[in-house]
Amino acid sequence: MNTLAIITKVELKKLFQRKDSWLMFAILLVPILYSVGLASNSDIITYTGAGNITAIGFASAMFQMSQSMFIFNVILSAIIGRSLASEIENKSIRLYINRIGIRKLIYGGKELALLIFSVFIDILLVLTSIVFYYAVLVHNPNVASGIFYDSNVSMEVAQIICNCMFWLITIFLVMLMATRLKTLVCVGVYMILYIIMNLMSYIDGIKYLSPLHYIVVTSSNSSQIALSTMLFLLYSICAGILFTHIGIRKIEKMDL
Amino acid sequence: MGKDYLLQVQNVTKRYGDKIALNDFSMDICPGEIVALIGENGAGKTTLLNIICGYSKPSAGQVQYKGKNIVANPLIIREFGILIEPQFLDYISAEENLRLLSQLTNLKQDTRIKELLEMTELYSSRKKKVKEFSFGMKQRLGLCQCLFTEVGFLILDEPFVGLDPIGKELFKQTILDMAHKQNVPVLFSSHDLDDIDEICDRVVMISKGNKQLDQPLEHKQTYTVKIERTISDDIKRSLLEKCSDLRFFEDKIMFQDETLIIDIQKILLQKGHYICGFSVQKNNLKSLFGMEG
Repeated sequence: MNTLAIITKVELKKLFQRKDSWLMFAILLVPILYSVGLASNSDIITYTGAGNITAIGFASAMFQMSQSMFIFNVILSAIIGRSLASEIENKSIRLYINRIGIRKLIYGGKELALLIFSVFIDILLVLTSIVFYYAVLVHNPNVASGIFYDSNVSMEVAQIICNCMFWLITIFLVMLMATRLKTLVCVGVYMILYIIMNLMSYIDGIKYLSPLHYIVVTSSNSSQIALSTMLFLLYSICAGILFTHIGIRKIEKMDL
Repeated sequence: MGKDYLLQVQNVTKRYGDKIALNDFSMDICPGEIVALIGENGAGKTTLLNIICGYSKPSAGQVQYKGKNIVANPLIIREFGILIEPQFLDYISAEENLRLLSQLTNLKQDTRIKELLEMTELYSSRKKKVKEFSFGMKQRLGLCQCLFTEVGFLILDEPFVGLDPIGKELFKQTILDMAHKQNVPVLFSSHDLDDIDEICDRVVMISKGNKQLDQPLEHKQTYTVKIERTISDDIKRSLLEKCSDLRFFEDKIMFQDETLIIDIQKILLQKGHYICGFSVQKNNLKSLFGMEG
């Protein structure tokens, strides 16, 4: 097994051993509670969408809801901060320095593990949404159509992809911040940046620099969904390469 | 022919902004040698160890291990057994920490884990989370990490701190075994001069980032002559003309060559002084610094 794969495997194991990582699984409660609430005609949870919702449409709506709740962005940023910033602070990253030696592999392995973790949570969110759609929500015919997808499927899949990519950009960004800042500071700065990105997404001219702009476009049912998704994919790749490159340069030079 | 050095610290300087933590520092270590770093708090001992281990990069100079620059060849650090500050994941058990090491080294080493935990008497606490460990237990676990794979060079930062007498003895014996049986050099920092005296071959003293002393600890004897009053500069000059290897401390004259005693006695009598005390002591660090006698 190559060194990057070893670090990634160890980091994944560490992620699942840490209690804070398990908080991220609370995201699965969103489709569970929402489907149960709608199926039981609860007064608190209501559905205002146009027409009855499909299984993929429900999964897409759950992604948007999780994103708008913001709490999961905060949890994810704390998990990322703890993976790198805390290990730099408490010196446990030295375990890797002794045994691996090459710092860019350490950074890369940690980042890759977080990316895998994030995608794993995304897949679980989709699966949970679909399972609870058919197990629970489908019993309310006023809300659920009972079919898997309809003509809106491309838009709904684009929304899911854009929301997943936003988590990935969060990982690239907070990993970079974690080379310089402590965990709690990383979370604070990320929250401020999120608010700035949110504001930017409504300002003409600079809105294209905000990743949230692409999520807004894909959820607005406009004709530019395919183009926006492609642009966001490109944006995410560029941001990923740039932030990782800067992060690696920083960690290679710093005293650990 | 020159000595066969395993580690060479060459003119290393480390700056933190305007502050110089280590200033043009050089030292060498041969295989099987046990070297102690001593100095006051903040003298630069840990900075030096961090640079040798590749945790910090020197502002100038270089560290070579087996003739290779450590910064340019970070993989050679894998040969080091290092115990500098706790390096554990405190949310998992001692055993899991060692398993994590075995994963990082990509080796299945279940037997080695058991062996090390038994050696350090941590086997019964192997399932306990490290955050529940005392400082001494963490030191023992650190020793397990150090010795997990085959070690070519052992580096320890204040290894005896927080250890009970049995733990201390375990550490000392391990250091001696590594150096004398496996020919592995050991570099460690400590404030305890008695411990250093007991196991070290050489002592290097750092003060304010500068090397103050680099001296082998030859366990010879020191002879001390006490006279009835403080030694004047005139007497010191006369004594030094005849015998160069003398040290003076208030009313005492210290030397290591026992044949000098006759000459010293003659000169003192010529100057009208008489010897009121004489002692022989095994050399130790405290006598080197005039802290004893």
